[in-house]
Amino acid sequence: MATNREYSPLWWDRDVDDDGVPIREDVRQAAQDIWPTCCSHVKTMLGDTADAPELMEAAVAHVSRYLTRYRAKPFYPQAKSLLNLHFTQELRRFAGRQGRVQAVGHIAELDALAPPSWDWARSCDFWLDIGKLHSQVTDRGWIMFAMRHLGHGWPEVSEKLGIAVSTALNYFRNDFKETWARLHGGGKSVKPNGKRD
Amino acid sequence: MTADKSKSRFTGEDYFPPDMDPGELELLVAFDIWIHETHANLERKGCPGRDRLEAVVRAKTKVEDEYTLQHMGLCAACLDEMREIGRELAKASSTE
Repeated sequence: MATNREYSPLWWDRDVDDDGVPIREDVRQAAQDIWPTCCSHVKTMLGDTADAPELMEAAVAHVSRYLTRYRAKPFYPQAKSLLNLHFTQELRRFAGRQGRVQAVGHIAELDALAPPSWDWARSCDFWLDIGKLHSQVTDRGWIMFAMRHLGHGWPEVSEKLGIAVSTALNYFRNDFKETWARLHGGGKSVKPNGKRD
Repeated sequence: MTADKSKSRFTGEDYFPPDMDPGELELLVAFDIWIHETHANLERKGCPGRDRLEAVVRAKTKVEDEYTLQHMGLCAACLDEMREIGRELAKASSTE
């Protein structure tokens, strides 16, 4: 069991997940580091921390599997960031399923749960909205997205699509940004490929 | 189509693009989870086949194979295979 500070509950910090797959050290360490903050978020959102251990254990297993699948080198630098993101989004999902948003904190504490708004990508509620994004971005934008997922930089994306780097980059940013705005109340134009809200 | 191995872009460890916008990493991770959960396609229905996937991975000019381009955005199995092909190309170029 993980030993946690003061009155935080305990989560099961173990070597393998439910399927017997080893859990990466970097993810376990990241979980130790962010655990107090995560507990605070759970309490703010749900009213108590009873569900925090289960959420953390699931998040650790998930992120570990993800990094293993992509053969991320040991102590991958973004492990903590990925775990934090996944935990937060799973918490939102869980709260939604339970109908249990019982905020006991201040508005500022709730704000801390929201992704920063200083860039377009971070404003997405990722886990819930990828499917919605897919239904609305252009086919070309989605192909670019898949290429980015393969690790292609913008020069490589642009050469495979036969367009300039700046064109590819601007197209992608505008496509996703506009789609996101439309999904969240800005609704307007029909997309070039016919998709729209 | 032949690859210029002296200028190979495949390093084998580049699982994310080098020039991401802030927050794009999380978006790509979310996409990865979404496509593996909703479009795993373990039966490989409609997949274009390894040759066509490899052609896209290797391509240094405009890809005309629109079917494969469209398909890869909705098939986790093909994306995984393309990533594997990239790794194999990287390995091959590093051992020569």
